[in-house]
Amino acid sequence: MEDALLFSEFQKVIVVDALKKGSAPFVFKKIRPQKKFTFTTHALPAEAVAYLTKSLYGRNPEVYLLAIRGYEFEVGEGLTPAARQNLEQALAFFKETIS
Amino acid sequence: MARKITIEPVTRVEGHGKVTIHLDDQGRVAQARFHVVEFRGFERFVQGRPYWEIPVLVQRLCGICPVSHHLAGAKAMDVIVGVGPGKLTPTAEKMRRLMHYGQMLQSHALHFFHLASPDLLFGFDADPKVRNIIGVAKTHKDIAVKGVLLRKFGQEIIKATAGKKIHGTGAIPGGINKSLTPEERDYFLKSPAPFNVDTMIEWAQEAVQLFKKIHRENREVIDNFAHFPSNHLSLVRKDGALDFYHGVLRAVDAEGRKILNDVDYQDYLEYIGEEVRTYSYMKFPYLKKLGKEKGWYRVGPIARLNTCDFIPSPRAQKEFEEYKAYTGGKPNNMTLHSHWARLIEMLHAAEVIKDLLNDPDILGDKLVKKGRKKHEGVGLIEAPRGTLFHHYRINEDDQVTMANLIVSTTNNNQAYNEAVRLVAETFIAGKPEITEGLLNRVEVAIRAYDPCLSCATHALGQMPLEVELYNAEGQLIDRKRK
Repeated sequence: MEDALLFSEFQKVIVVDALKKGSAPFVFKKIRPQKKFTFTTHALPAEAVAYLTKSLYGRNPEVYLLAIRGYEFEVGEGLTPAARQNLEQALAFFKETIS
Repeated sequence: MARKITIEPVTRVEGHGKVTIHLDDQGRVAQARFHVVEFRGFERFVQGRPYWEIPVLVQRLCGICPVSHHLAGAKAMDVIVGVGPGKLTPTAEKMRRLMHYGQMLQSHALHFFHLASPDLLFGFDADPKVRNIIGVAKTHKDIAVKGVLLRKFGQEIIKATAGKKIHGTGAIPGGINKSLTPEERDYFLKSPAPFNVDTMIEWAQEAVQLFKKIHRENREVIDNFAHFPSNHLSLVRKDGALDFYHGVLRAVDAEGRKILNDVDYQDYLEYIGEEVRTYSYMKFPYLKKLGKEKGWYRVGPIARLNTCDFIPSPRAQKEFEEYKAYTGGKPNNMTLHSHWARLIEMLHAAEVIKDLLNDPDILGDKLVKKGRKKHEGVGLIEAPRGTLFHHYRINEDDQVTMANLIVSTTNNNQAYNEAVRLVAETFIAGKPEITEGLLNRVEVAIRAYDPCLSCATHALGQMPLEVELYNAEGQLIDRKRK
């Protein structure tokens, strides 16, 4: 919920997260405010945060999702070589995008 | 035909639990049980770890109140390093208090504004599409905005004292690893409104007024919902004041008579027993003096305001006097009044945060003390949801050999069962069927005690509940999902 306040302070927001299923090396897409909710406030989709940003603070920043494909998600495991490669490509894309 | 109704939240969220209601041949409630599958592996896998890792390890128990586990573990380790209660440096003691009262502020704000307020503002039977925080944001924007900022303020206090908002490292055995800089202090004291402590105190006070307004308009519902007598247990300061960080153990019965009279919690095993029942992974703590049947108790906001004699901050004390007057000075046993108690505590937390920020000791540089090592230590703290027990033993190689944790949810175990039973008796007797009203109220009863389980049962737009109806032979005859 507090992230809505954070979103409201910027014109452009990029949410970066790991992607469990989907295209490698990463997915970059614009997201729109939506009443898109899951079971719990512990897992509020970025679309819902954008919706709250609009409804609570009257702000409508451009919000993008940068989802980096990962492969192993067990406790204590480091990055797999493929995930590390995806991360490097995503980081390069990110730097290029914000510059 | 006797029937069993199972209300089973999905298992993908933390605080997994389900409710089973057993009906007799006449369709009356024969038994209601609340089951929680809490992951207690921590007691085992911290064994063998060096004791100084405990404050950091144990906070992984919870994403909502890691600070409470962090500090309870640190308090136990203080005893082990020979710097037990009252022996920390003033800077260390006050920084820990600041961290903990920040935690109380953020957690209570989260619980009331994000989880409980939709039920109270829209009514228990309102459409789930509206009865959620998004609904509050749309129709009561001012309340939602204040809730967000109150929580953020508490989170920023935690970050300043523990290093991170979640899973920080501020407390170490025998002290802390940082104090505040004048700039950090002034950020909370002197930032332009609304992000300063004076505004937070005002908003916390407004939240208490909001509950009282809702109560005035819905007195009968709020007072009678899951209203049952019980014992109550918490820490209190030695002079009887409300204290979230440290004190002695006190328990009172439903009439206010003292059962535990301000005892040292290092000796908690003399007073508290834990019963195992076949149908739940969660133990049932009880006061040994009263035995397993009569010795169960409640913890948390409602218990704390029943055990303490006064609140040591002026605005919260004034609200406390009004709260106590409502029950003629007797303990309050009304489940939904826990929200009232919680908001008074939130106001107190905000007031204490201001006092601590104005105390020059929080800028001090004497952070850690050492003493004579012991091999056993107990740390207790009043977590947002209630009394939290951490007990450890170590060996000559400084490795943990035993850990016993009694978390707030466990302490409230029987209280959940009682609340669910009362709800079931009211809404199911004579109607052997699963109704929306029943489901809504089971959820409301659970939520009054525990925000983690609230997350498990409080959907945003959709109720994560599954209800199954069994006949006496155990055959599934009906299933409903929400």
